[in-house]
Amino acid sequence: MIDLKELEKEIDALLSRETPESLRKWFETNKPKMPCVEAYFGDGKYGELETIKSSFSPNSRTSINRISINDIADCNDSIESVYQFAA
Amino acid sequence: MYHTQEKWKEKLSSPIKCIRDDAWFGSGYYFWYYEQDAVHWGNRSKRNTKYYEIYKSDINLDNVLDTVFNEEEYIFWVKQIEKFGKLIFKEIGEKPTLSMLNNYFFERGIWSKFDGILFQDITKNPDFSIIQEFQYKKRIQLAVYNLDIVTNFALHYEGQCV
Repeated sequence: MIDLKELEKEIDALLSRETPESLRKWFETNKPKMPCVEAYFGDGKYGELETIKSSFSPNSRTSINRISINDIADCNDSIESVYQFAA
Repeated sequence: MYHTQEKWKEKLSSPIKCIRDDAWFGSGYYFWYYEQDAVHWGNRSKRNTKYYEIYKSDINLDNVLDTVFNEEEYIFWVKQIEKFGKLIFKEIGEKPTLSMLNNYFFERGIWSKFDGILFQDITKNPDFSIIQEFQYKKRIQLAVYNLDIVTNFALHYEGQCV
C-alpha cells in the first residue's frame, strides 16, 4: 500500500504551488459544461436527463409524464430529486 | 463485487470503462459492493434496451484506497478533499464538483497511484432499509483504475427493468 504520509506531503506541495490565478484558470477550464443528471419522477420512475442545460423553473407545474428534454427547464416541481450519478 | 451494464447481444468478457465526465471518481471501471445496489442501478439507469446484466468479479483491494472500511485511509481521504475544497473556496470563492476534484488529482498523478478507490454514500431507496426511516446501509462503490486487479469476471444475473 502507498505511504499515505508521503502522498500527503506530495499533495501539500502541489497545493502550495497554486495561486489564485492558476486555480481560477483551472476552475474555468474544468467546470462541467453540460451536467448529466438523473431524476426521480415519482411513482418509482427514474429517468436520465442527458442534455439538461438550464436550471429549473420554480413555478411550473408541468406533469413529468408529458415533458420532453426541451421542457425540463419548466418542470421543477415535478422532479423530486435530481443528482449526479456515477456510471 | 458487481458491475452493471446494459444488456447487449454479446456477453462481456471484461468490464466497460466509464468515461463520463460526471463519473464520481473519474474514468474507471465501476463496481457495486452490494448486489441489490447493482440491481437497483440496472433498473434505474440501463433503460435503453429495458434489460440489464450484472457481472460479478473478484477484485484485489491491496492497492485500493479504502475510504469505507479503513479508518486511516478514510481520514486521509477526508483531509485531502477538505484541504482542496477549502483552498479553492478561499482563493476563488467557488466550490468544485466531485468530477473537478478528481480531475485535479488525476491530472497531477495522485489518484492514479492507486489501483482504485472504494467509496460510499447512502442510498435514497427506502426499499433497502428494513428499519423505518433509517438508511443504515452504506451504498458502496469501487472505481477501478487498473484492470489487472479484476479477476473471474463473469455474468451473474440478467434483469428486466422494472
